Amino acid sequence: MNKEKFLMELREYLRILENQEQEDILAEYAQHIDMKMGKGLSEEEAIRDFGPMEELASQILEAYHVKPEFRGRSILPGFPKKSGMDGREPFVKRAGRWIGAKCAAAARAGRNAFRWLSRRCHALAGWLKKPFMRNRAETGGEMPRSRIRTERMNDMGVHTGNFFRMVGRGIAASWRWLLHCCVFWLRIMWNMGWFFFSLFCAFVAMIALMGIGGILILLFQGYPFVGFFVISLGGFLCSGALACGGYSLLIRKKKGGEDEDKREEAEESDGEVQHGQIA
Amino acid sequence: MNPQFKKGVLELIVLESVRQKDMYGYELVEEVSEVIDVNEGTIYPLLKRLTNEHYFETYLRESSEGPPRKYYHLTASGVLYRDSLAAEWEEFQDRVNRFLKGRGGHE
Repeated sequence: MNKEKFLMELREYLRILENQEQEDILAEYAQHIDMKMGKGLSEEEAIRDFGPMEELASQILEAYHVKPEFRGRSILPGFPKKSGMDGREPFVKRAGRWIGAKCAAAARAGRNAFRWLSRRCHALAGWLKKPFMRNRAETGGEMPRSRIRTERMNDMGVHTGNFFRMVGRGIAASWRWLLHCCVFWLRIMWNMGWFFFSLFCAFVAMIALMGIGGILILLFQGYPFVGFFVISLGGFLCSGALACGGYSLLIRKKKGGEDEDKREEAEESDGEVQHGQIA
Repeated sequence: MNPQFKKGVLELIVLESVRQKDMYGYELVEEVSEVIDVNEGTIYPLLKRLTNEHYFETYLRESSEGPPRKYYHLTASGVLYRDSLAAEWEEFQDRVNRFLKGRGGHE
């Protein structure tokens, strides 16, 4: 053990004392070790002469009429360690545990809030998607149950439910149709806008290309048209890029999407056929 | 020597050493070690305790080598305490000796 470590360890034992007193004692021991080393002893030997650290510390504390056990770590062998009652270390531990508990609680609250938010978002997304998701839901779990219910109703001889269900279905269908129409028209407008824009740009690009051709011929004949050439080249590239950009903004139905639509229609008709049979 | 014996007289030896001459910690430890073989670490707590009980006063004095040293000086009450301890020791020693000799005589 070297001097630094010895002093640090001793300070741990003397925490209960005032800082000034701690410094006093440690200064004495430091000086003692220095003096011994000055006389030719090694650091190790000088410290070994102090004997066991715990004994030393308990003797120092005794001089202050402090119970040597009055610490987090018990000095006397076999002295039971009491937590929460004695010394500073337990307090630090307790504070640490308290902070830890608070952090955990905060984290839990944050996670719960996040979950709640994500559930809300899911619900909102579900509500928005509802008109488009009808078919999948029916082909999945809804259909068989409704069929069972229908059968039971038939067994009991109750037919009034069917009427309301049909009305509900009609409303849902018209609502869906309206939505589809809106989306369709919006898409048409959007596509028309971008289509004409890119058409115009392509037209400009063609004119610029023509210009380039003409200027190139004049350039070869010796006219000083380098500037015009560069301008028309820039115009061609610019309007070409704009045309391509506008075209890429068009909303097109994917092939997969069309297939899905067809399947949906097929399922719908299938479902209706089945309903008809049951009814 | 029996550590219990040492513990009892250590205080007296320290008091007497400082009475003769003001000393700093290490010097005192050396002085006491000449009289009885004692763990050096135990003398500092003793000095602390005697200082806290106002038998010692301390002051710092510069040294030619290293940092200033803390010197211990025996106070008036320290002198009184030393005298009473010395008297106790005399009496104690006397009694023990007499007892041991008396017993030796019987044998």
